Amino acid sequence: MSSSSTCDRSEELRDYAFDELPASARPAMEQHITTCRDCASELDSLRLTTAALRILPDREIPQRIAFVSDKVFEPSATARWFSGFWNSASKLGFASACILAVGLIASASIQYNRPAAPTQTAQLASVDVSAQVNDAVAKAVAQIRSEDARATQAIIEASEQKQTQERRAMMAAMAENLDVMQKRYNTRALFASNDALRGDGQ
Amino acid sequence: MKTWLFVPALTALAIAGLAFGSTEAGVSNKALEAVEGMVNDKFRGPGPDPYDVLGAAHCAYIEGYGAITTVEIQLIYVSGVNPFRPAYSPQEIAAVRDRKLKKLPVLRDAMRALIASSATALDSVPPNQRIAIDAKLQHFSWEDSKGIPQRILMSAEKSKILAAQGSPAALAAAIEEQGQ
Repeated sequence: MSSSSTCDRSEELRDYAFDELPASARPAMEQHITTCRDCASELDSLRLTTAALRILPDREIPQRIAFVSDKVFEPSATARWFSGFWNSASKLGFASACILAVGLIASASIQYNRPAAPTQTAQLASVDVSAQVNDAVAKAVAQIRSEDARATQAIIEASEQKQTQERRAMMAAMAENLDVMQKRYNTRALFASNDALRGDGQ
Repeated sequence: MKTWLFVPALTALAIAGLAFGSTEAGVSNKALEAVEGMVNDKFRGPGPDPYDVLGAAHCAYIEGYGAITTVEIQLIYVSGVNPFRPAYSPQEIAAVRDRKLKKLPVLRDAMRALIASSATALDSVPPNQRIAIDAKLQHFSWEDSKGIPQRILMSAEKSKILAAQGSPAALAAAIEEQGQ
């Protein structure tokens, strides 16, 4: 802290203000303050500062103080590269495409360079599995078709039976009606004949 | 040879006697036909809900029993099931039954009246013999015929019928009814 006082005794005044001046020198200093306006003003300022400092709470002195602009806090080159990579969609897309292309090329290369015998074995195994699957599917389909055919046949038989019963009932009812109509016709014919005979008789 | 011809001649005479004996001895065919005509006319008659006569009346005299007249009718006119009308609804079936039930008392009254008139017409039937009318009632198989008889047979001794003439209550008391 630099002093703004122009008095020669500003150093002593500071010591006095911070109670660091020896007790023997303090009366002379106090005498000087009463006569020196600069020192009196300086003392007021120092006392105000001291009072303000005393209001502040005591804190631990930090072990280290640094600023973000310090080199220490700068990310490494690898971190910067990764950060730039992950934050760029185009780079990510390009990288994915590259990985896919590499995978395809590797796969094609492995297929191309595969020995002949294992390929045939794999093909045979594939054919066997395929045949088994086809057989199973064919059996399942045949079973389902058979069950469907049985169910359909049962439904048809039931329907035919019902239709037959209905047809028989209808035929019986119609035969009954026909019988009644025949009787009615015969009776009316007889009545007509009798009426004619009565008319002739009269 | 003569004996051989005598047997068929006797047989023919016996058959002729059996065939014509009853009418000759008791009731004439004319009287029986008159009764048949009465019965037929009674059931053929027009009305709000006429009978359907399906079998004309036949009257016969049975020696030792009396005269019996048979007729086959349907209480009301009902057309049967046909391809254009394959079924009757439950409501229609119930309606047919109701109409038939209402017609039953009318039929009974008509049969009693016919017995009375038959007893008068069949004057050659002995008084101690019976006058009977048997009405066969037609029902279709799809009908609800609960409570409706298949046939009604009414009969009474001729002397009792003649005695009850003019009094429907006495006539009803004199006539016996059998239903099936």
